[in-house]
Amino acid sequence: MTAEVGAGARTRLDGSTYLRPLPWKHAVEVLPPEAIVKLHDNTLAILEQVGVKMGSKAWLERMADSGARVDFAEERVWFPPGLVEEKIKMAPATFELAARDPALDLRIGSGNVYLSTDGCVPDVLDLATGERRKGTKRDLSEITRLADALPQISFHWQPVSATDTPDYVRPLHEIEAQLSSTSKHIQQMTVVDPWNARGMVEMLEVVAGGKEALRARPLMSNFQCCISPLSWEGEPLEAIDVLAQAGIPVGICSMPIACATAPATMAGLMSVMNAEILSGITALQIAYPGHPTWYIPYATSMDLNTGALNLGWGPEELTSEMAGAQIGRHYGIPTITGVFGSGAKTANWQAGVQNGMSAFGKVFSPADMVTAAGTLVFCNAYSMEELVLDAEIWDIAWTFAKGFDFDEETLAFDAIAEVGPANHFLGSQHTRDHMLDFWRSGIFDRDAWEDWEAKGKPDPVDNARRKMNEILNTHEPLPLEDDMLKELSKIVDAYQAERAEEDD
Amino acid sequence: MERIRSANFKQRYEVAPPETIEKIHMATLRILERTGVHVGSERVLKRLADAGVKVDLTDNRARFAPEFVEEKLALTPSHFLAAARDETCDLDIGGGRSYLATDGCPADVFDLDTGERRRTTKEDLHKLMILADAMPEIGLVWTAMAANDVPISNRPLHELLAKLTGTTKHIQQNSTYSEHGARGVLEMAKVVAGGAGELRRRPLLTNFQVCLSPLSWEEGHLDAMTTFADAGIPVGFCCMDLAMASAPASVAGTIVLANTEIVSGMVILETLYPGHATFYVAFPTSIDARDGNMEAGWGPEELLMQGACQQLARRYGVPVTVGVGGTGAKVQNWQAGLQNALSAFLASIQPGDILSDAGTLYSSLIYSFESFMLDAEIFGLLCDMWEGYDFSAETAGMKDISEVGPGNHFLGQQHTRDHMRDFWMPKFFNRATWEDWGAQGRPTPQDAAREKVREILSTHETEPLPDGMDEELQNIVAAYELSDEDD
Repeated sequence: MTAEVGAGARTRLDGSTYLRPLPWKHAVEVLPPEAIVKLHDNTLAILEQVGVKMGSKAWLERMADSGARVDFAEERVWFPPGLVEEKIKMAPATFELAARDPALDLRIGSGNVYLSTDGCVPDVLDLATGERRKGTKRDLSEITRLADALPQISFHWQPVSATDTPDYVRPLHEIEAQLSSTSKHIQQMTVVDPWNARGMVEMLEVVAGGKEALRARPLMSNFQCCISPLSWEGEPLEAIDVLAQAGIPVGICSMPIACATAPATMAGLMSVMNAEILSGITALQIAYPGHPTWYIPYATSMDLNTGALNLGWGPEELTSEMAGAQIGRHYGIPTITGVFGSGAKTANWQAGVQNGMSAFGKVFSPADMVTAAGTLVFCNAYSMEELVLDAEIWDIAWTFAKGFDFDEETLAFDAIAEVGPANHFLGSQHTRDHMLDFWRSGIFDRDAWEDWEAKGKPDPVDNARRKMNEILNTHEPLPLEDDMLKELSKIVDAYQAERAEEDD
Repeated sequence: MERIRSANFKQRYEVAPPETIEKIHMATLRILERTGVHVGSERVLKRLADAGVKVDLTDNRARFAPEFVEEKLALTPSHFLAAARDETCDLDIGGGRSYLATDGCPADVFDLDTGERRRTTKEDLHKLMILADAMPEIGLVWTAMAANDVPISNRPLHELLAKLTGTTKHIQQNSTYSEHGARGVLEMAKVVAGGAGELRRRPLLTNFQVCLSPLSWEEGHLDAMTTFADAGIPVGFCCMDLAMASAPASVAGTIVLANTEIVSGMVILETLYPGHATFYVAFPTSIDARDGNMEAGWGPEELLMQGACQQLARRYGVPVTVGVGGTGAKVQNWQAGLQNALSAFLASIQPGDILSDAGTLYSSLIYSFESFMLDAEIFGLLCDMWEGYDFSAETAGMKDISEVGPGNHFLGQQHTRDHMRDFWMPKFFNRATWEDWGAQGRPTPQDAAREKVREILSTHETEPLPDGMDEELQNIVAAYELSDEDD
């Protein structure tokens, strides 16, 4: 999977901005080949001997029919190694994801690394005041609109939970808010039950222009998560039925936590994770052969002092992100891995270190899609300033990954000969011709000390906030027709009314 | 307890394809042949002429034939011993392990108590050496800060004394740019080593000299270089090209110029001292000519230059120093963490033998004790990361996975209790929950770092010099002080 440098960059309908996926170049393999072999062996042994729980009778029957050993009373499935290896090969290596603006369609497996906003975050964090509060539907719209304008962001998750809407129908409110705030592809990750899945498909058919149009151009994708360790609940599986039948790509995700829902070693953590993902992909390919999917590894660890997720994350998390992408590449299945999500509580030194390393991990160990930008406190608080800062890191990674030009002009032999020893290049023609070629940060401070003091010692966050406000004051996403907006709103209302009545 | 943390970084990432590296080498040969370099020392120029180099004595220019350059480059050893007062801290530079070094040598420091920017003193340097002595992440030290409070004429000697009494680790004497200074420094080193022969056998010092970009070697630097080389001290060559100012306005051109400068230094050394140990030290950066800002910058281009120079040094088979702590930020903020993490991360997959520059802010213009701790944290994280992980069934806990089964948890498992402490534990990343962090008054990583600095300075005791040696060294320092007329 190689692509020309920057081949994924595309102009939008209004010609204003581009998508900036990282070019997929050579990879650093963090796991030696023998580790991959051992990991695969461990995984097959778990699937054959321990098995997974599956909370859906229909899915258990399909597994039994395809040759897996099933205990219906215990809701347990054991997969023979041959079945797993056969089925995971059926996952397509390439497919397309549609966007409302066709210029922003994503080509999965084309050698691009696409970045998204983070998702499902409970709180928003205002870095100007340090205030943290619950997210709302309006926050979701505004963050989505900001991300729509940032070329570094190629697709969206649901950045914050719209906690001011009823939780049973919240995913549909989120879809409504996002469809009108962006023309990029949306990965709907909060739909985890068949009822909301049906609402999602209904809404998408309105925007796409019918069932077949949606199937041809899936404006949204989805993924479902295994409950670690090794447990598939019934509702996510039934949601897959609704979405797969409508032609929506569905990824398979595992989020084990070392020491808690997985063993306390990298080997154990990744073995459980790989078993969970491969069980999901095997099941999906048994139920819907050839359906587009992703290998989605999100391994984390628990902090023993607090019992919470490890906010001080370091080498293990970086390794598991890079290794997860490597395993996905090894299986030839399109892959989504984690990026950013610093455990820091402000956009400080720690946030810079963690998010910088995490982003460059994607340059060195690429995946098809990487998630996600804009959060602090390890994905627990969304900050619009942080989204701008993460986009800036992505821009550094993007420029770095393109490499540098080397030809007679750029190597500057004549300029060097002309200037000679103990002189300078400040006024030379070559400098005038090329000084604009260098990347320039909109966020980094590179003032002289005196100027910086005179300006009141600004922080990069101040620069990010300025950029954020500029975008929010001016950016208008590609509008949805009024009729469509009304139709979407009607669907959300109808679903909300239906469930509200049931609750009464 | 291990006194020095180092890493065997096994990855071999390349920012540029091998054919580009070859083209850069060819361009270097072309410049050395046609433009040549300024050699500011007549003595060195004459020795080069004797060796068959084309020299122009009227404008102190030396031009090197491509075959001559290739022949001399082939003489460089691939590794060398950097000895330490504590023999357990000896380093085999180029032997496959990467070591972290301090930065050097800013003239300003952030005062540990007031946080204010002020001039550095000999005492500041001494304190930093004590920190370096105590911290396993630091493998060797530079003259981290200038001793502004002592006379210029014997300052390198004062600085060496501050280093020798502060740490028993290897000392890279980067602040010596004159024959006078080099002689004094060597006299001191001989006392500590136990004579000239011992110093040659176990060089407690290494040195490097800096090219004045573009393409100019000044007299003092060359004379210091020959003085050190005469004593068997390894001498590296360093350039600090600034794209758009002292180098062309392109990544490729700046790399070509930087490489030409370093190669010219190595060729001069190998011509005069065949087979002498040397190393490649490149710190190219750029200014922002668009707004006339002369501040050194930091961006993706700097990372590309760092990576390409590492590849060039590998091509020549010489040990390489890579800068990983050169943030342009003025405080320990998001920018500082990001910039230093990215250069360090790159240096862990395009490994340098020495990773330098721990501890400074504002493009190496201001030292910060807190930054020193924070940069060490980044290095430690990377050392852990690339040690790798065992994937055997036992380590994976296959038995436990089977016992726990689906929909349960691993909290009480023996395997969990056995391994839960294997996970990396940060020193300065904040791990508190939001609520605890608020209750603690929202501390920053630099607050934690400052506390650690104070703790080390109040507890760590560096192995003292043998009885009477301190006085002997002080006498040498005093003897090398020149009056203003002599200076």
